[in-house]
Amino acid sequence: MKIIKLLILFIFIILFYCFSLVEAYDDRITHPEISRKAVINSSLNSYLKSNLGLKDGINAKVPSNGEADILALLRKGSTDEDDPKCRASNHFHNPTLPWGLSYMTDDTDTVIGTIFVRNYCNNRGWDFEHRKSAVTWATGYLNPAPDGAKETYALDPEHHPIDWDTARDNYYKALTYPTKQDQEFYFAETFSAVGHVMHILQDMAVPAHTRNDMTSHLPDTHKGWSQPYENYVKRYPSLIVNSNPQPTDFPNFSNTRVTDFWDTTAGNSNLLTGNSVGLAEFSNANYLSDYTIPTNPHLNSNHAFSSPKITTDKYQICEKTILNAKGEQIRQKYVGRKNMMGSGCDAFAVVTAFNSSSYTATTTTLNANISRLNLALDASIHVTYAKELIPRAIGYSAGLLDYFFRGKIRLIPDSSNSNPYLNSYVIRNKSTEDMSGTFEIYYDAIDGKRKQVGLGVFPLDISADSDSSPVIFVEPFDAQELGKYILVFRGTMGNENGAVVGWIPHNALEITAPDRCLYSIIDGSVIPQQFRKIKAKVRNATADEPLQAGTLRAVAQYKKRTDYQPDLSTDPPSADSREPGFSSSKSVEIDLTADDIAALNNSTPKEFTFDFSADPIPSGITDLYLQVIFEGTTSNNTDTIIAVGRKDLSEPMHHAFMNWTDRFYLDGVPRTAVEINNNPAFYARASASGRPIDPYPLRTEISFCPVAGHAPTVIYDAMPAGSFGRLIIIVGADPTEFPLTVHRVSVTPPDEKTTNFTSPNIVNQDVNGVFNPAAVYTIRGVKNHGGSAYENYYPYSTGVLEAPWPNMLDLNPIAVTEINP
Amino acid sequence: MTKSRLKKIALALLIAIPLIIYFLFSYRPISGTVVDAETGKPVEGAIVLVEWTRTTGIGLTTTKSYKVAEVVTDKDGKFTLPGVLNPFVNAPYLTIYKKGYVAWNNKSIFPGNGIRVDFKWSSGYVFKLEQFKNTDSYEDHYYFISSAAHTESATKEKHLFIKAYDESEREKAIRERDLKESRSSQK
Repeated sequence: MKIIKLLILFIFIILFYCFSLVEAYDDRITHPEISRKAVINSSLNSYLKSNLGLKDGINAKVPSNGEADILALLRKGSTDEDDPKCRASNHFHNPTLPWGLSYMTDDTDTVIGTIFVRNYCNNRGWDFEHRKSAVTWATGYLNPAPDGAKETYALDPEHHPIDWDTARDNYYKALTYPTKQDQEFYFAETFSAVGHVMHILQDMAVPAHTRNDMTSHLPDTHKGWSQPYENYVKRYPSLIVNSNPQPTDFPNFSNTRVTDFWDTTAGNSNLLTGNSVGLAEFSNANYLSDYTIPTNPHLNSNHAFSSPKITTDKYQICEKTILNAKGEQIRQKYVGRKNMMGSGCDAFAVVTAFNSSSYTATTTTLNANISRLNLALDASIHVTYAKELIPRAIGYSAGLLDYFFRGKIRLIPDSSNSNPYLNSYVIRNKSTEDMSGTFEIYYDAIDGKRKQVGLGVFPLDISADSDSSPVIFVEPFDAQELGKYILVFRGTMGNENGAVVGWIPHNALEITAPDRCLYSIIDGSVIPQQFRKIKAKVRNATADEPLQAGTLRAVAQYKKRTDYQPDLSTDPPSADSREPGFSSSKSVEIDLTADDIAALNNSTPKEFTFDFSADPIPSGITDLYLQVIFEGTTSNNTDTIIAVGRKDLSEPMHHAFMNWTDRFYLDGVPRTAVEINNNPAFYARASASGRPIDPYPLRTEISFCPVAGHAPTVIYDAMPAGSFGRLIIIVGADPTEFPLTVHRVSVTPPDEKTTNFTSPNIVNQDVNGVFNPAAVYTIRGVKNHGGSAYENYYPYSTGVLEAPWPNMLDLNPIAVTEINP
Repeated sequence: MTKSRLKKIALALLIAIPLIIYFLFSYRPISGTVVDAETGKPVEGAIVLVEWTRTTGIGLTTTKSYKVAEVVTDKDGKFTLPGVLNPFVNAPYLTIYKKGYVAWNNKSIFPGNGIRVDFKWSSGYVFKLEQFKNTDSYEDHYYFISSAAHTESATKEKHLFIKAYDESEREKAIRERDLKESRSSQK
């Protein structure tokens, strides 16, 4: 018979597992969905856009090339908090007890709990002796923040909470770590950690978690299968999806402490009904869990709660029609709250069949004995509780999220500073709480690393909505975007010690090429060769924050060459023939008119000419970047803000345009007019071409745009034969080549030709530390990066460049006329 | 019945019953067809994502992704999904997405998040995709799809699916929300 017993036991175990687990609705639904609703109902989206430079807000991908956005990371964190499962033994908080004793203790009330929870978790390092209350597990506090003692944890990551402190540490790292990879990693970890903390708070909206009732999570034979209330919510996710929290579902604390979201320590009574109490206090005082119904008998004091008191002054019996297990309609008696009755029956607790017949006789009798009835929770009650507690779980989670991301700080130019050489700013605390701690200023350098500015650490106390006294720090020479600083605070903000606040300005300007396709052009005949103006189209790329008033200026950053010669005689450069650090030239500031502002905010960019004549850009440079800086106000923000755009430009490129009519390319040999005119055979062949033989000047018009018929940018009015012009130009670094059109005209002799061609773009920037020198060509004694020559030939032009042309008659470039400079 | 015969029967049952239960509660491979709900024409290139999760523990439980598969419908709108031979997994999440259509999910219905009751894990089911209407919200739809699709522990296996709806809906959802926020701030 032993084998029969074994068989029965085996089948029972299999069936038990099949039914209890197959029917278990997984944790993908409740917590991530509550978290999603919390995010939607919080201010996080606008906070991220306004304070952390994330224009896509909660849908910003972190990392930027990853699969998950911020919303998904918060959802993920709130899912992962139950993994491994014994973490959840720290998700209970009984607010009627001191926090050092308010954790889950009822796991040994049943044999199943003892085996599958206490012993199971003890054996996996989650010792009962180290169990924590949810408020401690989430915040570290053993007493209310900010002065309460904090728990210390052994350096055991597996059994360590992912709590408020973890989130703040990650946030600080995300703001300050040098590499973008690390910053994005810790940003992701920040949101994931906040998701973990939200999960622990959301559990406080489940009465079983605040009434020390883990027992109700166990497979249970008197109410159906496991976890009745939580399982019901998982089974009907529309209870969450369609939940619409009202203002009263959001916490409303004064001088908020992080622990208040769980427990304000206001005591325990039926009066804990407002939204200025902790979520644990609220659900503990006002709702029931399966094994903690005050009118029912209890095994021991673990489940003995005095609230909510079922008394005739607040509760009454009501009836409603429900479906029984067979699908038949039956009338069921409930205990309802008088103030929630409305027109129907408020299903707060069901009157069970365990009550004696005298109790079930009439509603009057039941009402008279209401404080002694045997009660239970059924599906109707789960709906009642879910409709009241889920909005509050959402509201409190949203409140917690807003509490984490509440600090608002700004670094704004010091308007009282009259010294242009002093890098003076003030730090503004835009928050509603005082801040006392360390403010650090960082910038993103050209090498991609985030660095702290020189002398950029300021211990300060700044009152709410106030400015600091001026702070002066070293302006970095290698910033990716000049004037764009990342401000980080760590310290006490209101009632929070160790708060972390960041500000990453995001206002961005978009820079594109001007109508003539060239950012700048100079005539290489003028020494020193310097760019005195840059044309560029600029647009406000931050669509949700229109610019209002301010100034615009440009800064060119570059590395000076140490061996540059105007005729390129020392070219090509090498990595060592540059200064290691960046130099810069600053334009004159443009006071923007109302029309300028309107144009900047328009989707079509406006062209500006930045005047560098007071601080010209030399032509002997590499690694050229153009920055455009708006300083002023936006319509959403009365503070002075700085919006920056940055464009990688090409190196100054030398193009030579030559008139080769000083020779006639006859049968593969360049010959002078004298040679041809004196040799009848030469003359006969050259004449057969119909081309002029004698030298003549050429009007040479040049444009740099791909559009046919584009107006010329420069004109050599009459380029003499045997001479050349040297144009030094700057285009954007993006294209690998760019088009040119050269139109040459002569009246006497009559001649005209238009040549379209492309030129390789010269960008000598370091590529992964390797310098990429540009090719330099020597044509008739003129060194250049590209250009165009015009010659007459017969019968073919093949081999013209290899032919023995002499140096140009004049090796000094001639002057050019710039159209619409 | 002799004792030894009883033993043999018991032993056979000991082996057979778990096997029967095992296969009874497992998910066999299925095939289906995706069609346009309005025209009835097959929808080619729809991405079908299925995910099983597994919940473990008693009292304290945790749920993890168990198996993920994504397939693309052929020109006849047909697809075949693999199954799972494990009775302990949770019921699968099945979501179908094609640009221009409302995503189909076996648990809930967009819009409104009503509960879907007409689907059972078996071959031959015709999945009818409703065309996305002007009155539908891109933001809500994006959340509907991402909620249906996201178990972040297995995102790599959902690459096709996430890429498809990210590319066609994410920007629209963001812009719609921005517009809503800007309207509400103007009020």
